[in-house]
This record gives sequence, structure tokens and C-alpha cells, in this order.
Amino acid sequence: MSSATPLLEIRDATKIYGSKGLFGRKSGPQTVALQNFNLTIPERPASITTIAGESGSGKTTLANAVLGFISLTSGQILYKGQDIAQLEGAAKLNYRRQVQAIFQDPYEVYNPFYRVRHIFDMVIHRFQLARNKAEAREVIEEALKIVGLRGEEVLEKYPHQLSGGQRQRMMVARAYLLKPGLIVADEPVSMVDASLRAMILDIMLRLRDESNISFLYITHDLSTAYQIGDDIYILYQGSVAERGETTRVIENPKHPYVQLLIESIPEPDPDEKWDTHIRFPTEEEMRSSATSGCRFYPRCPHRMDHCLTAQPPLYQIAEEHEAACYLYDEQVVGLADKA
Amino acid sequence: MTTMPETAVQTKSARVREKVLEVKDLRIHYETPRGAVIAVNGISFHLYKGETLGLVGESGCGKSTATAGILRLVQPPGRIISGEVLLNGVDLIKLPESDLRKLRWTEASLIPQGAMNSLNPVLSVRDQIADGIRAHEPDISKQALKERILELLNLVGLPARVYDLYPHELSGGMKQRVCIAMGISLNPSLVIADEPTSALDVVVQRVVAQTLLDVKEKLGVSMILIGHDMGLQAQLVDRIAVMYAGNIVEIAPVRSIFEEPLHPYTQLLIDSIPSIKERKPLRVTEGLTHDLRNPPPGCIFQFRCPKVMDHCRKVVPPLRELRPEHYVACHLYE
Amino acid sequence: MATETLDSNKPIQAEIRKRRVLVNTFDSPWFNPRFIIGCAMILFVVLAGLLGPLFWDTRLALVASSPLNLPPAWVQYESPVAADVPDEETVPVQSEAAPTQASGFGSSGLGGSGLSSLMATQTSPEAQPTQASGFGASGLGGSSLSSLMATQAPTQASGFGSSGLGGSSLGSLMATQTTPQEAAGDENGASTTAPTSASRIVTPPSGNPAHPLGTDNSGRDLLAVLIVGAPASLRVGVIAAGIGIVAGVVLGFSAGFLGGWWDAFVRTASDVWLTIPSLAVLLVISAYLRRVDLETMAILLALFAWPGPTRLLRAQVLTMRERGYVRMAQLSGQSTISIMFREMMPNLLPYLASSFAGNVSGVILAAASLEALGLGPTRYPTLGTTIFHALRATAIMRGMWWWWGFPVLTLVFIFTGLFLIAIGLDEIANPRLRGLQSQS
Repeated sequence: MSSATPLLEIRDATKIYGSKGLFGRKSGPQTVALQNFNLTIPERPASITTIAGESGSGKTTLANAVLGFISLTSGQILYKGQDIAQLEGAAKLNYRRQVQAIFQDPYEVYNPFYRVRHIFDMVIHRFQLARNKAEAREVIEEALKIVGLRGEEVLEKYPHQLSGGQRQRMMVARAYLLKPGLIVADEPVSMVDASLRAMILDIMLRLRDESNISFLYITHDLSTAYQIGDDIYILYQGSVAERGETTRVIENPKHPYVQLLIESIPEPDPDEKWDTHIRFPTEEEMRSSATSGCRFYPRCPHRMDHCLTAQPPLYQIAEEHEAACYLYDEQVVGLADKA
Repeated sequence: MTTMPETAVQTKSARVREKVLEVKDLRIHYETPRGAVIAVNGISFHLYKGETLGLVGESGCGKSTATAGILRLVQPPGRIISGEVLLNGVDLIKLPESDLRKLRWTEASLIPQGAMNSLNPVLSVRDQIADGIRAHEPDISKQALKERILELLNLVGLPARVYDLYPHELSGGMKQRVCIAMGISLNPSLVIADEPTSALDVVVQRVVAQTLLDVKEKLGVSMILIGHDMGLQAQLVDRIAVMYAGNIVEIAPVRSIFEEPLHPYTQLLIDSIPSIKERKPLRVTEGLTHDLRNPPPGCIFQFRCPKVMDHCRKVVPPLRELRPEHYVACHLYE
Repeated sequence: MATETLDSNKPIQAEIRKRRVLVNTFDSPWFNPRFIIGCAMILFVVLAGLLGPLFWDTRLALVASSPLNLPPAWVQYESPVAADVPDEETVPVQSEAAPTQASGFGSSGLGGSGLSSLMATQTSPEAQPTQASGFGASGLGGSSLSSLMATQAPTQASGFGSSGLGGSSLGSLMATQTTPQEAAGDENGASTTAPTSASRIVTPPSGNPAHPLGTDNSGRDLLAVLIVGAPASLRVGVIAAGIGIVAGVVLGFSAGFLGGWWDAFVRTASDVWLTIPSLAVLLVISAYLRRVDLETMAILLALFAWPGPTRLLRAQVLTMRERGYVRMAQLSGQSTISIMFREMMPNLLPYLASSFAGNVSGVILAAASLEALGLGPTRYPTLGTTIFHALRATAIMRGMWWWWGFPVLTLVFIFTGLFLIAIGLDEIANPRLRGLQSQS
């Protein structure tokens, strides 16, 4: 592994949404969407990195930042060593080619005015992937084959004439067309029927294995993450709660939030029901609690006074497994014991 | 948390159980310029008092339409073509609208999909709930109304503070619980909840699901729970009815569905549940679906069924009771 | 509640077909009945303007090209009885005159008629009565003059002589039986220095198929006026609204897309501009202008036609900016301009067109208002100008309903057509229709 430049490196990314006053000074309540976020995806081998979290965790902000739709308040995002905020002109176009996306809503991403082939034509035209119509058609067919669709079935239709699963697959085909290095998949299967989810996830796996495309898979559904993710970062209100290799984190969660999360996933087995009745403090639910220190403090069953002092850093639990919780800081735990 | 009253569900013959709802051969069509879309193609099922029935199926299979039909809330171009819906013995389909309106909300209520996004943004929580109560009990005193609303909020686990708040001040889970409170405000015998947790986070989903269980336990309402998350269904319901393209293909107690799904579509559904316990290769299925305007003769699932036979293409399999309380519509079991 | 039972043995489709209601066989949102009817109406006006000159001599819209004061062709008056009333005061008029030919409604409005009566006197008595058309009398108080004239040339005199703003013309309407005395305008106490002049040809002229919609008091054929004027009004509306839309596209799009101070500026400017009372300002401006022709008018009106589309488009752009397909286009490396015109614009076309139709309607109304007040191009027979002339000649009180009536009807027709287009487009663009599309 590596002295090689990582494919994607995010350093201390922070994004604060706050209302700016008339002259640029901040006024009004600020929301910290992302705080000191770090991430590294190596270039080889291609991998699927999952960013998991609930609403408000910052995962959408992260996706938008990587795709260049929003700019960070501080921190850097480096793609193959280059800071994407500095890219201009041709370099930026190249970035667009290298990093593509699949979004959650398979209907919204299509312009209802055009037939679905418009999404392919746009890309082929812009990036000059083909010299003439015949070549273009070939390229499109090849991409459609990967996702299990045929050109003559779908290309000339309007978006509302296709099913959600077909539309989402065509989006994957479009992303594949550019042979990117990284695809940011923002909840790609949450609006697709359960029976079709497996197909799309399978396509993602194949793209990883056969075409060496890495994925940044953003989701709130830990079960799909468990099935296809290589590494996982679990976010809670803008910071990483736990990260590491997917199976390790999910089979053996260490952060209290992650433990709660995994335990709350309904088990498809009627004999195994939730055994404790959890309570959700209203303030926490309404996000009106302002805390310094660990964000999970109000709900944490293992909280200590020390937790309020500052955000816990990531502590190493095992190889490729880290959790941001003072429970794993021997000094703190030692102090608490003595107290 | 108490466990389900399991014994009552499993044995049918032990005692005669009262049926709160009985649906017989309900058919609903949507008229379009190119032919009528058969949304609900003659479904029949029943619901016993105090139990929860889960209605699962993929999007477009007609589950929401069916429940709208039960309460006769189908809007044109949809029409109820035929069928009987017996709520506590009264046929809702034949009832005149004025009588039906009295029954709606007092005997049967519906928490529609996306209810939490449909709360009136200019009314406080108190006003929203009071609206429904006052529509049916216009003479209720202000004091009694206030007490009732606070009681409801307590029942769904919301603090009394919420009484005066507006929907935009609440989180998603809280809004959904307000909707549940509205649905049970008049003590109906039947509550239909359409995807009550679909847009919520996992932990919040658990809270709302718990709320539903609490409500069921304390009030003894019978529920129909529509959803597509099999895991959640396993936690919440007593029996499951599986729908495909407007037909019910299997109804069984929840344990039987998970342990031994009989209909090929049910098997497909169970198989595609991603597990959090072990990594297994993803089972990929593809199959044609038919045009809902022109259903093929014979079994509705023939195009996607891995075990399809010739006979299936000709004759519609009837829903038969294979085992006690376990109904399947499939030629494999004849 | 319909509870027909379905025979489950029969094929379902056959059963359903029997009861199917044919809704919209084409299944396209564009086949909206209101939209189509509206388009048909406006198309009719446009075609009338284009093809009309081929069938009808538009020179008849010019002044003095036709007999005066003819009602529409279907209005016929019977000949009066008392052509030869043995009244001293009455001057025998009858014999030489061909009453039906002289366009009777005599007099006239404020002013101009004096001139015309002068002209009338030039004609020789032997001249065809039809030519003389009563530029007859007078204005307020001018009756004496004209009646004087009239005594000189009874045959030429257009029947009703005098009258100021008076009932006499009304009287003439009912004139089949009136005696010249009654018809003399006694009842209104108009300037009656010459009751003798009152014994004119008492019948108003009847309609003539050569002028199906009648003529006005200056000899303009109304059908020709409409053929020339209606498209002219439409043209003013289209030009002004067109400028407004272009301004709206440029300003609204840029404001919505770029945001920042430019957005703040455009937004404030258009909001403020909307509150300025347009008619008042236009009145003042056009009163200052010496010559107002159609194009000038259009530009003037465009001044007030731009805030509406700007606001509409800005709002739409702000919503559309967040749409998935716009993001997709950004991801595909499209430039901002390309996104605006290739992705956003096609979806905005129904809103744009609807706003345009509404704008045209508003501009035509404003233009007609200005013209009716006399501030429009008086030489060119637009609809509003015609109404102006009609009002000035007191056509309402003289009962010359066709003069102002047909222009008004045409305006109503145009407005209705535009309105139908606008609401038809609203329905087409409305997401309600998209409900059929989004679920699959």
C-alpha cells in the first residue's frame, strides 16, 4: 500500500451553514454540517467506501462537496493529489469526467422534456466520446449491456414511460460511459423496489471488480452497506462516530450510537424483536440541544462528564477499526473509574 | 415491552374470533384513455379483532389503492367496480355517503402515506387534532377536548409541550406520531397505516414503530400496516398478506411467511432482504412485468415466476387455504 | 355507488370496454380544449388581417370613402310617413331627395363636422344625394349653421339637420312615423333657431350590403376598419409583450441563476416597477409626444411589460436550479448558458407562453385605453382610435351603436382568445398533469 497518491483524500473538511449579515458578518444560528472530516480512498484496488448516517449527519453535504456543488468552509478535497477547489477550465472538465454521480431519485434526474437518450447524448457530446452517430450508438449500447438493458427497448422512450429500476440503471450506465475513477452514489437504491435493489447493487460490485471503478456509497441503510461496502464511515451530526472495515464495524460496533443504530434495525425474524424500549429525548429529536463536546451525549447510555469537554477523537480499536468515543481512551476511563 | 399475543393468532379453531373487517372480492379500476388499469383485481381477506395485518408488495401493486377502496376514498379516474367491505358487519360499499362519513374516523381511520408532510402548516398540533374530533363530536366541551388531546399525545409518547407547536417546529418522527394521534383520536376499531415509517431514520423508525405497538396494546385497535420493509413487518404484525399486481398471492401468520414462504413471489421477497448478519451473494432477479391494462390470462405472476408451468398461463389460481390460516394462490400446491 | 358485478369468466377487457368513458383520445396534454379554442380565435384574427385585404378593399377604412352613417346591413328602416307634412315651418324636402340615400344621421360631434358641412355646401344641388352625405350639421350649437346650409340645398341636407347632443337622433331612430315636426328636435331643446330646418329627411338610412358592418360619420367602412385595426392592436400587443418577455428572460434568468447583488437589484427593481401606475405614466408620456405611431406605442407599453415576466422567470429558475436534471447537466460539464437554454428553457416554455399571452392581453388593453382617450395614432384606424372617434362623435347617444360596438366586440374577442390560451397553457404546464407520469 501506499506511497501512491490516494484516489480521493479529504482533509479536515468543515462546512458551516450560517446566515451572513449584510456585510459578510455572520449573524443568526449556524449549523455545523460537517466537522473536521477526514477520509482516504486508495487508488488501487478499486473499493466501495460507504458513508452511512441518518438525516442531518452531513453525508449529503459531503457528497455535494466532493462533486463540487458546494464549497467547504475550511479543509481540502484532493482528487489524485489536486485540490478540486483550485480547478479551472479544462482541469475542471477533466475532474467532471473522472468523478461521476448517481442520485437518489430516479425520476428527478431526467429532464421531462427530452427522451432518455438525452442523458447519454449530453455526455458524449461534451466529452467527445464518439466521432459520429454510429459510434455513439455503439458506446451507449455497450454501457447499457453492463446494466442489463437494451438500447432499442429504452432509448427512445420518455422518462415517465420507464420504471424506476430501469431509470436508475440507465443512470449507472451513463456514469459508466465516462469510465470514471470514482462514482459518488447518493442513496442509489432507496427509491427502488426491494426486489430490484439487489440488481443495482450487483451492478456496482461488477463495476468495481471488472472496471476498477471506486464508489463512494452514501446511504442510511446499513444492511445494504454491509452487503457491498469495503470500508465504512458512520457519521453522526457532522463527525465520524466510527470507521473501519465494514464487517468489523457492523458485526462489532463500539461507539454507543452505532450500537444503538445496529440494534434498531428491524430484524426480519419474528422471533427476534427489539427488547428494550428506547426513549428519544425531545430536545435531541428536535436538535435544539446545543452541546460542546460529544454530540451524542444526551442520548448516550454510557456518558461521562468528560464527554462534554471536547469532541472525542478517533481511537483505534483494532486494525481497521476506529471509534470516536472516550470509552476507548484508557486515561479517561481510568479517571472515571477513580471518580 | 410485552410480546405479541401469539397464541390467539396461531390457532383458529380454539375459539370463534370476531372479525372486524372482511373484504370480499374488491375490484378497483382506473380509467385511462387507453384502457382501464386494473389496480385491485378482486382481493379478499379478513382481519380479526385486535390483530395487525401487514400488507406488503412492491410499489404499484395496489396496496394503497386497496385501502383507499376500503374506506371508499378512491378518487376518479379510479372507481370501485365491485366487492364487499364488511366493517363490523356493515357493508361500506353499499352505504350512502352521509352514513359512511359518520363511520370514517370513528370506526375506521387511515394514516395515509406521507401523512407527516401533509400536516397543515398554519395550524398548531392542537388545532389539527381538534379539527377531526370536533367534526364528529361537535358538542364536546373545550376542557374535555383539551384533556383528550393531551391524553392522545401522551399515548404516542410526545411531551405535552407539543400541544402548542406548529408542524415545522417538529421533527419527522414527531410529526408522524402526531398523525398517529390523529388517527386514533376517536377510538376507531380499525386503523390503516400506510407506510408509517418510510421516510424516517432507523432509530426514529424504531420509536414510531414502538408507538404503534403501544397504541395497539393500550387501545386494542385492529390494524392494517402497509409497508415494504419486511424486517419492520416482522416486528410489528401478526399476519402478512402479500400483494402482487393487484392480487393477493399469499396470506399467512408472520412466522410461516418467514420460515416457509409458499408462493414464489413471497420467496423472492424474503430472499431479497439484505441481512446484517452475514454477507451472501446478492440474488439478482429480473423478469418482465405486464401491462396493468392488459393482464395476461392465468396467473398474474407468470412472467416473473421461476417455477412457472403451462397450466399457470391459462388458469387463474384461486386463493386457497392450504393450512390453518395460510392461504396461497398458486398452482404448485394443487 | 356503482356495483356492477363482473363476470369473472368473461375476459375483463371486454367488460371494461363496454363501460369505458372516452376522455381524451389523444392522451396528450397539448390537446387542451381551452388552449385550442383560444389559439383558433387569435388565429382567426391574424388571418382576417392577412387575408382580409384580399377580399375587402381596405381603402374603405379611409375617411370619406363611403357613405356616411350607414348602419349594419341587416338594419333596415321603413320609409317615414310624413315627408309632406303641411307645416309652414317645414320645408318641403321630399321630392328631389331620395331620403334613403342621404345618410341621415346628420350632425355630428364636437367639431369636425363644421368643416364637413362646409364641404357639403360646395356640392351642387344637382349632385347625387348619396354623395352629399350629411356632413350635415353641427356640433353643440352649430346647428344653426348647418340648418342654414341645409335650407339652401334641401336635397343635400342630410335629414336630421341639427341637433346637438340631443335626442333628435334617437328620435330619428323611431322615425318611421314621426312627423318632421317631432323629428325637429323639439324635445331636446337643442339649439333650435331654426325649427324650420328640422323638417329634414326623417328616415335614417338603412343598411347597405355593400357595407355589411356599417360606416361611421366620416365615411369609413367599419368592416375595413376592423380588418385593418384588429391585427394592428394585436401587433402592438405582441411587440410590446415580446420585448417584455425578452427582457424577462434576460433579467429573470440571470438574476435567478447568478444570485448575489445582481439578483437583489433585479428583484427590487421589478418589484418597485410593478407598483408604478402604468396608465398614469403612459398618459403623461404620450401627451408629450407629438406623433404617436404604432411602433412608438408598442415601445412605450413595453416599458411596463417587463416586470411580470422577470419575476415569473426568476422564481422558476430558482426552483429549477435545484432540480436533479440541472445537477446532472452540471455534472456532465455543461456550461451555465447551455444549462439555462437546453435544460431549463424547454420546461419553462409553457409558463413563458402563458405569461406572454397574459401580457399581450394587458398591453392591448392599455393601448386601447390610451387610444380611446385620444392619445394613440389618430390617423391609423386601430380599434381604440375608432372607439375614440365614436365617443367624440357622441355615437352612443346618437344610437350609432355599430361604430363603437364592433370594435368593442373585437377587443372582447381578442381578450377572450388570449385568456383561453393563457389558462390552457397553465393547465398544460400544471404539475397536476404530471401526476400521471411520476408514479411507475
